[in-house]
Amino acid sequence: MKLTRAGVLILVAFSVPVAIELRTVFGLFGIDLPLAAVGVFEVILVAAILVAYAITAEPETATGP
Amino acid sequence: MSIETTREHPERGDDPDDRPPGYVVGSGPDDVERELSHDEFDPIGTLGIILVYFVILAVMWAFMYFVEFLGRGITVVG
Amino acid sequence: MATFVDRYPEEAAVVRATFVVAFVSLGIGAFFGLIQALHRTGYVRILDSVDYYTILTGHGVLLALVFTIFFLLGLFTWAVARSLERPLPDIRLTWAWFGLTTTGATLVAVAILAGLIPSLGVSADVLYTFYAPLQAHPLFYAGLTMFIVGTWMAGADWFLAYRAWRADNPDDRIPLQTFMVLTTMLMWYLSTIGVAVSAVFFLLPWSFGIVETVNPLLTRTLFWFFGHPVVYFWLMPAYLLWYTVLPKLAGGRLFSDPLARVVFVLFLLLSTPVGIHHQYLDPGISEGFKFIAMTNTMFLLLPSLLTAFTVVASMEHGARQRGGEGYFKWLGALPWRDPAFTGMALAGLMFAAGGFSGMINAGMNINYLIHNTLWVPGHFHMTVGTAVALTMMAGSYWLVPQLTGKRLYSRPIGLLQVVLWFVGMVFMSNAMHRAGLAGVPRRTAEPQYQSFDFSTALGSVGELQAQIAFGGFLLFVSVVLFLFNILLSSFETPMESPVDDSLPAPLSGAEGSPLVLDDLRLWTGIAIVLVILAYTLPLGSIVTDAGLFGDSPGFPVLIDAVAMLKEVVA
Repeated sequence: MKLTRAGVLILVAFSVPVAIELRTVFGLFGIDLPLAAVGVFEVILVAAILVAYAITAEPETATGP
Repeated sequence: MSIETTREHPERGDDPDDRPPGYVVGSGPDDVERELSHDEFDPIGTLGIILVYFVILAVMWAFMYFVEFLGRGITVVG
Repeated sequence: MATFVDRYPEEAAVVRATFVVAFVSLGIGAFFGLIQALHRTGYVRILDSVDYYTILTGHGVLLALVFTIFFLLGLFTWAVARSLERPLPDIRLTWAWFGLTTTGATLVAVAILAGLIPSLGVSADVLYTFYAPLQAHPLFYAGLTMFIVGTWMAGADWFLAYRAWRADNPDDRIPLQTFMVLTTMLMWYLSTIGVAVSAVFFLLPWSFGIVETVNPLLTRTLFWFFGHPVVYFWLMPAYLLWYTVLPKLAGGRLFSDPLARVVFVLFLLLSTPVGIHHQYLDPGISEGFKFIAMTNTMFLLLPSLLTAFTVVASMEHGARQRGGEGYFKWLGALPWRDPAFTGMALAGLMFAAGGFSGMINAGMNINYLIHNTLWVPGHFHMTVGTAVALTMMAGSYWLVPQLTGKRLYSRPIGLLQVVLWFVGMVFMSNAMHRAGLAGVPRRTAEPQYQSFDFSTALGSVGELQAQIAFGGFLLFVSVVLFLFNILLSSFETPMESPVDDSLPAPLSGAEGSPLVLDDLRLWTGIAIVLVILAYTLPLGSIVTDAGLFGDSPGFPVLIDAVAMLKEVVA
């Protein structure tokens, strides 16, 4: 299934709570990460989403977001 | 009301309607490839999502027991 | 293709008017929200902390009561005319309730905002819950009463429309959208008795000085008699959109009409006899009554879980019709580029998360952990602040073109707006929950104390403050984008089909549902019995304890009084 630009936007939005809570999960296991870790998680997640987009996307018309 | 007459596309060149029409809000059904009747539709994806919800709920419930109950000192009442 | 405005031009004008009031108060309320988010985190303090409560009251009342209920009034008017396929019985009645509610809401807003100008001597810094003995100017209670009476008239308008339809269609099932409107209004009539009695018999005479004292616990309990059902009064318009519009936006059909009816009947039955769960820490109400309220509250999870199933299954139906496959891959086949769809779907997702924190609030013992902390605003910004508000904004992208005959100015900006709201709320609500767990109180301009530091489980208080301020900023930007998009849409040229407004029939229709579901008299009767069971004894014991009018004089929340208090403390 191809990933649309709207789909990328939604996935990026969804990655924000995931990045924030990943730090909580580490905290649960006694690994206290600094706030910057959330930023790092977010960058990794966004990169993963963009890679997925680059692999699956087909040329779209100009009606995407 | 004479709405129909006012709705004709104006000919002016600088009209904002020159923008491409784009995606009409609510036109999701236009992309339907097949009609699924009540008996043909098996909502297994919904089952999956609701199971994920209950797993999160159960894990968080257990988490709360450790953090908020075992993790705090005793409460003295009175 | 004719849309709503062509078929019912007079009704469309009323709905447009209610939406204008709703969106104006959304704009003001959101601005107040930004001020608070920046003030209590200490980033920008443009006002004195004393004025924080004026802003906070304005934020709560304008958003939680005015924005949501005016949107509801418009949406229900649209839904009744649309689903009964007939105009309302008398458009003068419709304009009359619009006039009364708008006048009432304006008086309330004036009474609150006048608090910013001390020389006027008018203030109503009593917060959204207007707990006595905090006393507001009579204008506030009078406006509130007018507003409530206006909503009653609106309900009467819809019931009259239903009666006229019933005369012509004696054997038909009540159309689903009208059924939802009628059950919601029955719940509203039952629950607003509490706030009406509180305002008319106690608070209004007390603010005029006719009676000297009030019984604060009695007026608080009467407030929550109304205060929890009002939560569902906000939520039911969102549910109406999720059940009847969202499946179509997803490209599918509602999974089950009977299940939708069961859910609305359950809300009619269970919304009111639970109010005491907001008073778990109130002395003067015994534990047993609180336990009954908790049990009823847990039963209320049932209709919400039924909704989760039905709405997600309806979306999945759309996704599979659009070619979706697999256990989770079908999610990618949903029309995510449609801001109306995406906004409602994200609102539903946030509501699921709000369910987690709501279960904590509902538990009598766990509630002690988070009672009156910032956790609670964190929770209701997910529910009313996102599940309801974001659904209403997303729904507007689909509804407003039907009311004006003009297309949406920009779909991509709409999409960006709903996503921005989601992200902003993730930041703000997440940090509020965490801060609440650390014990940071709600409803304070300056939540810091000298020689005391809150200890957070993870990270620092400074990080949480930053997260709240940043989230609040994103939310404000999102509202600005929404309002401009709607405003610019009103300048578009009218066109033939500005929006696809058709609604397909449910997969499992009304003909399969038991007839008893449509027996509104039966359900109203049971709802009344449940309320009598849940409230007679607690109210009786509150009145026996301290008397009907109690012994508490008023504390008008005037700036002078607070300044005087400051001097005394210093």
